[in-house]
Amino acid sequence: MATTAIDVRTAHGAGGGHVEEHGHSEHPPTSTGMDHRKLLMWAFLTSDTMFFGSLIATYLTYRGRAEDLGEGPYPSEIFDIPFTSVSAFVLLMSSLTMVLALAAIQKGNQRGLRIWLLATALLGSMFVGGQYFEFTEFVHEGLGLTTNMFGSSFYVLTGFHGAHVTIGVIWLLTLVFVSLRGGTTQGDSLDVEIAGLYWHFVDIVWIVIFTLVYLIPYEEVADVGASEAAHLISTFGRELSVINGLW
Amino acid sequence: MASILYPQPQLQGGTQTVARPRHSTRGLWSWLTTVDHKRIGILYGVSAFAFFLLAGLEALVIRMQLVRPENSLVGEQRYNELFTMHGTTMIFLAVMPLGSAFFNYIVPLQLGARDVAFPRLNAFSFWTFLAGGLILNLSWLANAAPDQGWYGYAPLTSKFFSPGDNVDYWALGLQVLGIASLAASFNFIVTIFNMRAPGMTMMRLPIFCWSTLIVSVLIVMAFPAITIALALLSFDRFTGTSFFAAFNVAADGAIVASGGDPLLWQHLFWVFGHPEVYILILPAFGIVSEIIPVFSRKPLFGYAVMVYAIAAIAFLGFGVWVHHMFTTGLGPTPDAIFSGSTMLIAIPTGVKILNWTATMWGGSLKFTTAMLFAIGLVSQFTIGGLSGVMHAVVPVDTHHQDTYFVVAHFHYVLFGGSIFALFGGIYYWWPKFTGKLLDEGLGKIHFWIQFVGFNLAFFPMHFLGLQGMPRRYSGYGRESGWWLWNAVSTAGAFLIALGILVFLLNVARTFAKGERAGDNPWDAATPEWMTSSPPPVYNFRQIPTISHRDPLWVEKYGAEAHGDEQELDVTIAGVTLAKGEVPDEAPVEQAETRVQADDEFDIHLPNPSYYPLLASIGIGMAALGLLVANPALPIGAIELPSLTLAGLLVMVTGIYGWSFEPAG
Amino acid sequence: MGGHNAALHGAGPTGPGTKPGTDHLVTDGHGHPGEGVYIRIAIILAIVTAIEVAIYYVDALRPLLVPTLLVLSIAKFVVVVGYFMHLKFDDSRYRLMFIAGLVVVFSVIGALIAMFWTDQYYVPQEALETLQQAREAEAEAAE
Ligand code: HEM
Ligand SMILES: [Cu+2]
Repeated sequence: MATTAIDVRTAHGAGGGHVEEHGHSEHPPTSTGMDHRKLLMWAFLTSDTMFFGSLIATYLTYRGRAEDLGEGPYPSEIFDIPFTSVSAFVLLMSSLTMVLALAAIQKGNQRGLRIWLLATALLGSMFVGGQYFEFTEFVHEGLGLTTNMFGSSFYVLTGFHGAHVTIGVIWLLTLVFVSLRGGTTQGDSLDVEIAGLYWHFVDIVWIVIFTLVYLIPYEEVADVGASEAAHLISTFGRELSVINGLW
Repeated sequence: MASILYPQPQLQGGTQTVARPRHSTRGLWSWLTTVDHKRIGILYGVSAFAFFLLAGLEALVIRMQLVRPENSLVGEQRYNELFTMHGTTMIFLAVMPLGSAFFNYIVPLQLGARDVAFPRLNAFSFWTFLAGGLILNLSWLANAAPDQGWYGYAPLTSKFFSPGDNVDYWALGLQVLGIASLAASFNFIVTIFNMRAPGMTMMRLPIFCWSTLIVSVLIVMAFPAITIALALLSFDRFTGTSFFAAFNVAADGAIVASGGDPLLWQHLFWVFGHPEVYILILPAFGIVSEIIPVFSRKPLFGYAVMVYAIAAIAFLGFGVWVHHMFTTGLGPTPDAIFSGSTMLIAIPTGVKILNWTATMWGGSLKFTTAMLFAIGLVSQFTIGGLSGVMHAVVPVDTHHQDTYFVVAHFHYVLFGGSIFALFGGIYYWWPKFTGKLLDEGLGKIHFWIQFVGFNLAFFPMHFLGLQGMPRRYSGYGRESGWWLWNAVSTAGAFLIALGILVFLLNVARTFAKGERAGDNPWDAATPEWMTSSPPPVYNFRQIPTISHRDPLWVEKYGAEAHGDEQELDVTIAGVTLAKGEVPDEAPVEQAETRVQADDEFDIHLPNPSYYPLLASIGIGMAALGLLVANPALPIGAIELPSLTLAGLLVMVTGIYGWSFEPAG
Repeated sequence: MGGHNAALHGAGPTGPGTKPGTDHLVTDGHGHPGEGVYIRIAIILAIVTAIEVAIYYVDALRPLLVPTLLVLSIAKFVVVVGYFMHLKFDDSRYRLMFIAGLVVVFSVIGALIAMFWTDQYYVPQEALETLQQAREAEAEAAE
């Protein structure tokens, strides 16, 4: 090349329509050495913690309210811990397959990339399918979105998470499609890595939800009607409200 | 001659599926598809100013209604709509996007970059912002303007108390605006970290870029809270949940306890809301920190302290939200903690005031219009800050809450602070945008009218508040004794309007026969003045190498003139963010990679794209679908309006087109 | 796998520190663990999950259940972020950013929840009744 380039691709190399030079693993230089899109993804994930943080805060605020009011169905009667544990396990393992997909493409192994991406998408779909099944079960047992505070906060929290997983599955399938059409090379491994960051993040959110929503036991249902004035705080509340003592 | 220098991207077979529009510089189409940060900045500026005028008109009607006791210019419902839309529009559609206009236009220039990191994402932010603004204001046409206040307190927003569509326009409009703000902020975070010119360390960053960075961080961390709050509110209103209402209406019409809690709304809203007020003021601080040194002919006093102060304000800003909830009965412990943190946050704020004052101290001051507006901020914001500290004291705030005293406070910080600084920025950077100078004579007239009008309009509100006049009421009785100050305040409001008219006149005059500015009319120091005014599409022929904080002054007057530049490492928790010491010259290697654009060279700029616009239209349609009557389509157990579904489809098409069109 | 990866992570062909950028701090892409490590990590995660579920069913452990669960899930969280998301090996500035965000979120949300839990929940019975009466009165007036 007669001359060097004015590197304006830096200015737009990403933004989604990212077409890397074929076979070159060279990225436009940045002031920090951090890739534009990867930095964007980390910033997004950091922001997403606040998104899920607010949802979890809402769930925890209302944890135990259904019991307080004596309006079932209650989580203690409705949760199917073995089933959800399997779901949680499935999602956890999809993180493994995701990282294996990345490892494959970093070595230029296209076939490996596609197989592991497909495996991840499959596990993700299983998780979403499981959630659909769970929701349907719950509705059958009488827990609708508006039945009580438990129903509302549960469906909205896990539903938003499920939506994240669904978007992830679509993203992974898109990567598979791109790889089939044009071939994905070592130089494109960042595409996979970024999708992976998103995917693992969705997984860690579920780790938190699984513990806070499913595993931490709920207070037995209080034998009081809605007219009763003061109420109990759920087990979890009491455990953590040691702070109460200080206040 | 023009040889393409950058190796054209080798498109992969499967990804080259969609075409991309070609460059053109004229016509509507070129604006609709533009990805040029300067044009996007102008789009932001023009639309935000239009919204500013609209919200200003709403304010004038409010003030006319209050000009005398028992007035009946507008009814109670209309009054509620007016103050809600005034507040919402000013905050989300005027002050925030006017800030964005400067971020867009100025930041890449100050960084010595040719564009932002993600130009198409940037276009998407603007169009989504516009969609949100239009949705919000469409409510006027539907005669269902939001009427619950800009803070949307529950349970007034519940279907039970607000059965109309008013609240829905508000919730969905803000939701769309949130997407726009988030997208823009991610973009600017990456841009500022990653696209600095060679030699520009973080501690050489122009201070306006610092404030942009911190504002972006605040948006990224604060907006999700309101995203969730608005989503839950929409669930309450569309599906019948009761996240924010303590009761539900049962099928038989009985009112039953639901277990929901209106207070949760206040928490989520103010977790967002307090950082939001810093989102509104920090761009103003940044602008003023650029203007004051230039017209004091001195470098900014205590640059590093200034940077740390902005960062401290941002960080502490997340720990004070309960000061909006002192009267909700949270108990003495939360009250005490948040009262303390609120007083604490006044310290870094005070530091900034001190630094501006010290910058002016001993300088050779030039009272240009821009400088007058900057000094306007320093003086007026201080008054607002002081009343802020007053309501940090819980027992005092118990008296202030929901009175005009609070209205006085936030107008001193928002109008006296943000709006004054934004006008300062307009006067200061106008030559950068257009190549012409706004008329200084008219500018000074504008400033003084607005300054007097502002104080006349808002200072009396302190008295009214202390006399007990409540906010949000559409009238007051004759015996209240509030007539005089209300009349004065209304007169002040009209004076402000006159000031704005003078400004518009100035703009018109400048377009007609403005004085040519030259490239650096103010003899300013920062890199945006290193290129022509207005800049060429590619900003810089040659990417500058930065060796000082005020490169143009050092170039012109030598390093001594620059004062004591201290290079500091920025280290947080053991991680070095930015190194202080920097090579004296750009390393050879980089001089080669960033080559100058000579006549024989072409600068490769990103092509325009229509997909960002398409994606934004999709989002707008999706939101609108929930508002206007249209047949619902069932998907599984869920029914969604057909327009919403169509919108989502358009959005996805936009995103995919965007991902697969050639990057070039 | 380390070396050739550096470029993939934005460090550019010449490696850390020699970029046109100015910070000279690049630590990006210091090599990632290999597949073997990933599989081991996954096995550990699976075991921890199994433990979580198992202790849920052991009545004797009830008093310790909540703290144990919290510790275990935090451990899982850290491992996934550290290894699968490479935060342990990646540029330290990603780590700083994410952790700073977590600190803000955790403090804000923690304080928020604590403020709710210190209050006991009351059903606003009187208010509801008043509301009901007002509603009925309104309905009557309408007729
Ligand atoms: C010195 C720093 C500041 C302190 C200590 C402070 C303190 C407060 C407090 C305690 C309140 C609640 C008053 C009440 O409702 O009873 C308040 C309200 C408000 N502040 Fe500030 N403030 C400060 C700066 C700012 C800034 C910089 C802005 C915006 C640019 C701002 C905008 C507002 C707004 C809009 C409200 C009213 C919210 C509403 O109820 O609608 N404040 N401030
Ligand atoms: Cu505040």
